[in-house]
Amino acid sequence: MVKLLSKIGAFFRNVVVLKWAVQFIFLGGLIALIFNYLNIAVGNLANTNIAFSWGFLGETPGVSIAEGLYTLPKSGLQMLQTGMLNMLRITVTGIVAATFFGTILGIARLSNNYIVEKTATSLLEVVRNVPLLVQILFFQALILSLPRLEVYDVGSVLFHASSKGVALSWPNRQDGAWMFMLYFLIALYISNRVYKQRVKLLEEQGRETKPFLWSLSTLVILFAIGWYGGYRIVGIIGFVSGFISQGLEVLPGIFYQVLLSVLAGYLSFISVRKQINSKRSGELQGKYSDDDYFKMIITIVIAIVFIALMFAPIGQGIAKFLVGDELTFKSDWGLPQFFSGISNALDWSITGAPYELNMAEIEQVGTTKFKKYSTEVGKSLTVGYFATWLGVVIYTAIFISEIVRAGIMAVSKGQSEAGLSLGLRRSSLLRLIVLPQAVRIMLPPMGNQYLNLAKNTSLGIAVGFPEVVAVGQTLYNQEGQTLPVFLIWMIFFSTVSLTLSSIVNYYNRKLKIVER
Amino acid sequence: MNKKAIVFLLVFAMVIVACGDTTEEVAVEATEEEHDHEDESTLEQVQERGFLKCGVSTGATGFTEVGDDGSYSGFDVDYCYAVAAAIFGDYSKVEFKQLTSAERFTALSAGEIDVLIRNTTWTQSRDTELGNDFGPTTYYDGQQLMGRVADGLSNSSTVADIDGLRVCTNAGTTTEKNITERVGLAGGTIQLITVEAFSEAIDKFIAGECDIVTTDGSGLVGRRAVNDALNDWVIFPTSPISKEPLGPTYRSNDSQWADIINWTVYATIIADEYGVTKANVDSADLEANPELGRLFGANDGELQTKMGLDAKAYYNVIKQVGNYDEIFSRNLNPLGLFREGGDNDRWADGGLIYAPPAR
Repeated sequence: MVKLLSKIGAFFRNVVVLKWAVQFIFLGGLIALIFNYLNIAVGNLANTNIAFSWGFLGETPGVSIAEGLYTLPKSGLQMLQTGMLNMLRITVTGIVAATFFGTILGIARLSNNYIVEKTATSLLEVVRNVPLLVQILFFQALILSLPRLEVYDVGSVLFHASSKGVALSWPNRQDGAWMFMLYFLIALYISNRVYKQRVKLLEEQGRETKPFLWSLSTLVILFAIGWYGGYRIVGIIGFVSGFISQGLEVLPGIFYQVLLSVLAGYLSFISVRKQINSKRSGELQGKYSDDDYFKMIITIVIAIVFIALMFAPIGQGIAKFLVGDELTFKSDWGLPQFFSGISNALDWSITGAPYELNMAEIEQVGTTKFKKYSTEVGKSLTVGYFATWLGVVIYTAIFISEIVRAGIMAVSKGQSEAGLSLGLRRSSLLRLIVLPQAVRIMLPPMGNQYLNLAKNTSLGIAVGFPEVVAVGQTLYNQEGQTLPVFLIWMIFFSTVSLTLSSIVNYYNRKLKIVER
Repeated sequence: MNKKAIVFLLVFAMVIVACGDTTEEVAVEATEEEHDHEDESTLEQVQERGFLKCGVSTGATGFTEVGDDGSYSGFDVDYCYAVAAAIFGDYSKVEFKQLTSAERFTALSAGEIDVLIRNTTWTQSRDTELGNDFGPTTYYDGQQLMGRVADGLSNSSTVADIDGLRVCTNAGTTTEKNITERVGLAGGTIQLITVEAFSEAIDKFIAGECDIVTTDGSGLVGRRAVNDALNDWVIFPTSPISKEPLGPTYRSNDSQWADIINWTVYATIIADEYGVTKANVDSADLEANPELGRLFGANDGELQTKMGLDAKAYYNVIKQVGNYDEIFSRNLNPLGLFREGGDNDRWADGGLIYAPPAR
């Protein structure tokens, strides 16, 4: 008896056992806690007679949205799509603009010119110390204080601002724009290859091969060919997509369930194999720590849970979504619709210039005395869009400028001096020595600023800009499903943020010092 | 070194286990407490707390107004006072909670407030999907539009005239749905800008970002009066584009609480029918009018005590707050809203304000 007890005691004193026990207790506790809270939430909702359901995604909300893809959404899903696209519109253009202005401001802060430096510094101090919401409301107030659109404003203008928003001349997309964009991406890739090829030649043969000139002229020539109809060549992709779409239409939902399950199984297999392989050779050969076992087991468990979920109602829902079941969500996000959308956008028979430069137009509305900015030609920005965009861009640009300044200053002076002593020109010095090192320092904090910008777009709700939070709020007010809308928000913002940070991380890895 | 690691792990494990236990216990206790709370009826909760939590608007002229000294007044506010008077015999035992239209139903279902009296329209979906029940309608309203005379609008303008215009309204209301539906039926399209509070919509209308602003007629009339634009702004169409019955809202499945709210409203209407006002309630002839006698608790007030209230509950309502006509005239007449000949007139005079008999 005593022996047995001491054995049990020894068992519980074993470090390995303890480690495992702690891990499992922690995991179990966490899962229990989450389930407990979910149960409480669902129970409370049931008590207040609100059943948790996703049905509202398919129902017609019956409200209109100020701007975006669907101004008269036919389903809750379309309504949320519109909000998401509006949010992404600000995020993507905002990141480009904030990076541009931020870089200029950062360089201005380093300028030797007294006025330039002080102007940039004072702008920084003002913007940095005022809450973003106040700034957005300020820009709204600024626009609203402009005069109203009047009769004598009617006509074509280069630029106009009034209390109805801002209108400017703009190269408007024509039918062939999407095809041209794709064509242009391919052209960029080709000219990049040309550049690399010429650099390789230079390194091998030691003669001046003018790589930049070569790649630029390739791009210009390809651009010219594309602009005057050459872009139609990508119609081939549309042609193929049409076939893929037709092929996908006959696939049943079970196919996707199986496909995703197999994918999950395969990924977990790869992950486990990788962990085993990493211990195949060297000092640690065959020595797996408890952590390693734990990781492997968790990977397998996750894969099993995922596969199980794939055949539960949620998996069937995902499959229906991918099949493009019109009835489920009235969506056109299914895979067949996706490919048929591509085949429609990349149509061989589209002709004409891809873009057309137009003046902004102020026009009469119907039979009344009201005036508005044309949404057909030129570009018109609503007050909400303008205020939100300007707010997040300036706010983020200020922080980016500090990052740029810090990045450039962090490159040690010895590097520039060494470059100068090699006889490099100032421009080459900046391009070849200072900037590559500065960017390496700047990239991680830049990524954080991009994430901030993406999340700050939700402040658009304060100025009536219909981004995803504002739209979602309207939706749950009409349909009463608060929790599902919150879940969708969380998933959406996580997806956007994770996508952004993985892009930044990709470049970060690429620029990392290669250690040998 | 190894021993240290083991000791550390042991301590760590104990901490984790201890933490895990306590959190779960706390969670369980919390749920139990919540269940205790849920078993209590709303009336018991309110009486225990000692005051009523009433959800009102963030600002609707004539319905909810906050004075410079922080005092509340208005049509909806008076009904909050009336409910407090019925429960406590003291109308001042109310804590007001200002809610935007987007927040109100969440606040009600989460128990932040006991009753929502915030010009809330009774609709089928709100009644069934949101876990609410609606009390008797206190004000029959209808959605209308407001534009500028200078823009060529007049009383006779219709929904068809606003095709292509930019319209502002506040989020989370029935107005968004109504205007979308009506403009769609008229074959037009509008650009609908929704903002958090109606005052923001008015700001945008004044600045010219929006051509038209829309909400319940009473709200528009109030705003027009406040901004002193009686001749510059015009409200149309004459017959509202929607039915907006406004009244108190409470959580469903608590019929005792529902009865208290409903009969507080009915008491003010019945008192008005008999012409009993704040001033003459003490001299009312309860012998000659047995219905009033029952309502004011003359003969032991059995009906009120069965509801869980004081026998004199509705006497207190009239004594301290007044009858329907008084509440209406006090708050809405200054804005130019009158009962005579409208939907909110007494039923005997062709209106819709009607109460079931008290017996």
